[in-house]
Order: sequence, then C-alpha cells, then structure tokens
Amino acid sequence: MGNFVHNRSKGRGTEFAERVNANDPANSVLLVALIAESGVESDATLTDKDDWSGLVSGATDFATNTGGGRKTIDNTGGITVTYDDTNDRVDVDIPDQTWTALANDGTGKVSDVAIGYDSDSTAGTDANVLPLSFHDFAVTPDGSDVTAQIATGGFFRAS
Amino acid sequence: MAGLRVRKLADKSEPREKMFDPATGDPILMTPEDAEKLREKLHTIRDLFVETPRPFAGLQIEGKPPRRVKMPTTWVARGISEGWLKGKGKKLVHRSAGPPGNPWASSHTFVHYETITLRTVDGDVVYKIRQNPDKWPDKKEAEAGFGGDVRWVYEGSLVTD
Repeated sequence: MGNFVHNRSKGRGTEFAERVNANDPANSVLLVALIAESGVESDATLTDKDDWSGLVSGATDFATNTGGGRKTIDNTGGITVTYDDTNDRVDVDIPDQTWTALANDGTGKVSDVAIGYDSDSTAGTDANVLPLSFHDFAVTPDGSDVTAQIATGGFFRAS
Repeated sequence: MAGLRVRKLADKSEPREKMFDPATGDPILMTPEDAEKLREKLHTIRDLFVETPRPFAGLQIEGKPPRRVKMPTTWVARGISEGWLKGKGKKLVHRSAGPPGNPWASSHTFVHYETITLRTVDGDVVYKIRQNPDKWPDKKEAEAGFGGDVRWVYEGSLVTD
C-alpha cells in the first residue's frame, strides 16, 4: 500500500480545504478515519472509489477498535493552506490526529488512514463523503494513544 | 443544458506503477518492469536533480489576519525552522500516552508558547496563545495526566496595538 489521492479528488484537495475553512457550504468538514488491516484492498482498487460507502463496499472496512472513531475537522479545526510561490505548489495541512487509548479489543490492526470531504456533516451518510486521500498508517493497538503525524508539508500537496 | 461527465473504465488485471516523466514532471503509468528499468537509469543521474526553490521573499497572510486562529503544531514547527514564524515563551510539556494499566509507557511531548508571531511582509502579526496543544482534561487524574482528547493545535487571538 502507499499514499495516494483518490481519482475523484485529484486537484481538489485545496478547494475542499478552503470550502471547509469558509464553512461554504455550511457544515462542510474533513473527516479522518482509521482503516482496518484485515481485508484492505489494493491502492489500484481503492483509488477508483467515489464515496466512503463505496470505499468499504468490498473487503476494505473502517476500523472498529474502541477509541478509533472518526475525527471531524470543521472550519475551526485549524486547516492551514500555504501557497508556496517559492516551489510553485500548495500545501494543505491539518493538525496531527490522536486516538486516545486505542484498544486492542479483538477487532484487529489498523493499516491506513482515510481522509474524506463531507459537504454537509449533518446529513450523516457516507454516500455523501468524497474520498480525498489515503495514507499508510500501520498500527497494532495496545490501548496506548495513537497519533497520526501529518507530514511537514501537509497531507495534501498540489503542484 | 448540462455538460457530460464520463468515466473511462480500466482493465486492472495487469499491474501498473505511477512514475513521473523526468523532463516534464507529468505523471505516467508504466508496467512494473519498465518502471524498474527507469528507476535504475534515474539512479545514475540522481545528482542532477537538484531541488532549488526560488528565494523566499517573505510571508503574506491572505486577507486580513483573523482575530482568532488555530495553527497545527507541524505547521508552526515548519515556520520556525524556515524562519517566517517565531514562538515566544517556549515550554515543553509531557503527558502520558500509554495504555490504562501503564500510562507512562509512552508519552506525548507538546511545545507550548506564550505568543506566536508570523513575520509577514506587512509586519509582524502576533497571536497570544489562548490554548496550547495538549492532552485535554475530560477528567483530570493526578498520576495519569489528562484523560481526554489530544489536540495538536495552537489557538491564538490577535494582539492589536
């Protein structure tokens, strides 16, 4: 597995971040979810997925470990967009994400982190969540806090 | 009248790897065999790929500086290392990160600041840090530190003269 931007979101990460920061549409958010190691499909398969319902329509599934719930980043969440004229690119950064006391409760290991864009978090359906990016994140939970450390250049870069 | 949105479906029975054209930077898909050949060739000329960004001419905030702001810890650390941001009143804080039976088996280290200054081309923009990154006290327990969420952001309010 590797890190990739889903086909549906190529070129759109900056726009999603700016929409969330502007709260336009209202209640738009970024979501961060852990993916279970068991059954996770190949990058080539997952990059074609068009929404989070589709993302887990095959063998891939969200992690269900206690303490492994989704993180929601709204317009107060600290999304930072850096237009880098020195390198001709844009970096989108979010705060590191920590799952407190992620349990080893028989639900298995974690293999990846998925980031998605939900244009209306009040609708509450994964069919509306656009898959943005997918990142390697291999963890064997043991009840410790688990932190996904975002790269220095952010989680999304357009150049 | 709506424009069309179409999809070109792929036969994925044979693997492909994404590589980048060294001359144009355009991404291209290749067979793993061809990708490996290209990697071997590129290895011999790697010293010619010298990353040279344009000289930094200063930081600019898009629009008016917000009165309240949240800044990710990684972004702040990057700004300090690149010289366009500075933190004042630095203090290291440690919190437990281990499992319930052994809370100090691992730990979080947070860098706290009193103020963070963005050194912009329009002058220094100073934020007083109202809340530093920390392990949040849903329930404060004396030995285990804080029992709640961990937030890796600085929350600041704009200091105006």
